[in-house]
Amino acid sequence: MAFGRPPIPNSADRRAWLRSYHYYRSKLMEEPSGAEAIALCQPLIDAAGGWRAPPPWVSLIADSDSGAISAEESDDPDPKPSQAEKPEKPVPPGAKNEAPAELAGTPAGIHHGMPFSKEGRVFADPWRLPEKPKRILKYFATEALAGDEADLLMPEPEFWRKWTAKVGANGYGIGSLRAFDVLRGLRMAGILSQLEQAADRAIIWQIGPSAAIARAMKMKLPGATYLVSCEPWEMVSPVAFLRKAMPEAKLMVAGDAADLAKAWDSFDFIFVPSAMMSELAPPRLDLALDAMSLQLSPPEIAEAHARHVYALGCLFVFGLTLSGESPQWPIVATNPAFERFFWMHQMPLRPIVDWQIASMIDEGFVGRGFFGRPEETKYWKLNVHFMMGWRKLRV
Amino acid sequence: MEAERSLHDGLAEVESVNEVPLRAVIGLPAYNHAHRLPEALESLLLQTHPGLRIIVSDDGSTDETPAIVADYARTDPRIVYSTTPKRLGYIGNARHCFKLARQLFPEAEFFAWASDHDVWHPDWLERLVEAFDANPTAVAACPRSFRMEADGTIAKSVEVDLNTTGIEPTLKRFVRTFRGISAGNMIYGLFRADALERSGIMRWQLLPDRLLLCELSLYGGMAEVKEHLWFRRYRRIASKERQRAASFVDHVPRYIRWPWWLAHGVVLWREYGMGREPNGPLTKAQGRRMAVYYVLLAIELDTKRWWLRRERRLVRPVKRKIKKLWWRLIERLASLPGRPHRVFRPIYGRIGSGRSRD
Repeated sequence: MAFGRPPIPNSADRRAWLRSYHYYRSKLMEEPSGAEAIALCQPLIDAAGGWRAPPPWVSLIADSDSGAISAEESDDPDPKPSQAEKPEKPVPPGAKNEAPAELAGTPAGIHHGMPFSKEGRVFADPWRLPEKPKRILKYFATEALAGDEADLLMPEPEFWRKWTAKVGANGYGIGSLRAFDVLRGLRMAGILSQLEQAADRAIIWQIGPSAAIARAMKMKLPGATYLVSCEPWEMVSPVAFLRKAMPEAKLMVAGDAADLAKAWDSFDFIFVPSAMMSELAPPRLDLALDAMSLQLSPPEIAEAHARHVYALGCLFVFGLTLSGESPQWPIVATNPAFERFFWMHQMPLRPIVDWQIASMIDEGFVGRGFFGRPEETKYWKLNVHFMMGWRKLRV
Repeated sequence: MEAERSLHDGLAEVESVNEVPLRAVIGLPAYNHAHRLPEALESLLLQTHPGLRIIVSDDGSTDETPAIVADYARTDPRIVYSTTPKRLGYIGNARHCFKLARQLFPEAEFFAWASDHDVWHPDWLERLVEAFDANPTAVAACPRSFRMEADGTIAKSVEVDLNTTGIEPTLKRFVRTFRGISAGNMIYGLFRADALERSGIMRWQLLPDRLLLCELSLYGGMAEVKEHLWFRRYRRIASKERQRAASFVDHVPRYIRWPWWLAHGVVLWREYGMGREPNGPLTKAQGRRMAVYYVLLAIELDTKRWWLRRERRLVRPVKRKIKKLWWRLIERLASLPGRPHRVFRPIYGRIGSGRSRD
């Protein structure tokens, strides 16, 4: 899911981040489907010319024989502070929005430098989901299930139960709640009903890797083809997750455009690398869903996506966007790109899991007061918004 | 002359695209909203229901409205562009749209008014026509809507659901409609054209929408569509003064200075209590009773509104103060360990209600 807290470039957090990543990778490799997923991604990685811009302090090594990926900490540009040194103070919200110098040379965007799915927010504490966040999740899931739109809340798969809170027989995690938000937004915008009633097989393009949204959408719209475009290495996590969670679904990781020609009507999930975006030519496109991916990409990438979505005749776009200021992440407003081709409107929908709460769950933090705590100030004041738009007739 | 020509050109092209059976005509009275018009017009042209024609009636705009409409009309034969011979005002232009629709497309079953600054969901017409097909006795159908700010941000959801299909007798339906309608929103629903014609289209009154919807309820029920399919852009707070200025351009009749409910009551008494229509929905006695009901209900409504205004001025500041203290208490409670449930419920309310906390 697209809500992982971005890696913080100070040494302690970086080490924690790497530890999480190693843990995740080892877990992934234990699963046969995980290894298969990586093997599947390998030709794509090669086709895309190798890895795209990992964070400058991480070297990713892909072994073409075994399909294994390893990450190593490269020469530390910011050496670990000694015990006596005080850790860096976080930049308060509202401060000047500048990317740190060490991120300046990453034209592919920080987003493309995260070698785990942003779904991977749970890996900030990879060993377990602590009890208190579980209670928060349980509260939200119970509330959602008691509401009018309970049919939109999809339980997490059984193997994911470690990171879920149990309500009744099912477990609900951050991913299922985020997907619930998206489905609520789509229903409110009148898009979901249109997709449900589509006479032909609907094709939905999700921009950005989010296995939870993809899975929930597929469960809600079983007759649709779900296209996911992201960077090759970003596919590993969602592909592994979906293969494990929905073994009956037909999943394809496209290597070239020829693979795609016959796939539109027969596959449930089609993963394509972003580099292949210009070759995508589905027979129809019912919805483009930006899973907070384009906002963390350079503006020209957002523009290219918006242009291509428009060229494919897509009637609706739906996007999750962030607003606010981040001291480290250059948040790109996707609206200018999309507004050229679509009439965009912000939805009056308050997400259940917003950035701050998700961060708190991530940290296992709760119960020391909700407002104005010193602990809270280290999170950036970012809010999640839902945007909807429909195509312009004249551009 | 120019307007005449564009109208005839449009009609010639419309005839050529007549393969799809026409079901609805949308009349768009336009006046000096050129900056919002393209989005409004495109949202109507994007309707997924194919049997649609759009009549844009320009009431002498002084901005780029004529050029914009002419431009769209050139490329889309579903648009018919017309200009009024002189400035008619909002009611006059809306009536002009309807009459033109009946004249040019008498076979169209449904009619709707559109504004030159709101936005319609592509499924709007399809869903409303489906609602009519499901309720053959309905004379009007309305979806839920969003309130949109001037900059396009959707501010809140407006969920005024009113379903009066199947309510009998007529007077009961009339009372239910009066109490349940949100006239400013529902006037932009879809109507059966013949029922609209019999209800006097849009009368030369203040709050003509309320009167029209109540009159329509005499001929059949109102179907609801529980989907957000219309985006209403709010610019300023509605006022009777603004409405008066927009609707009565040359001459303001004396009865417009009366209380609106009195003027409406007189109209209803005259139209339904004095037997103008022999095959009307009510007998004369029922018509008179209905006119009296209308006045009483309107007085009740005005009293409620007066009380609300008063409450807003006097009571709300005190309530706000109490709420502030309550929030401080909540903050305190939240700082106690192990009670997140007690904190989140008042903060977030019930999830899934579809409403923003703000």
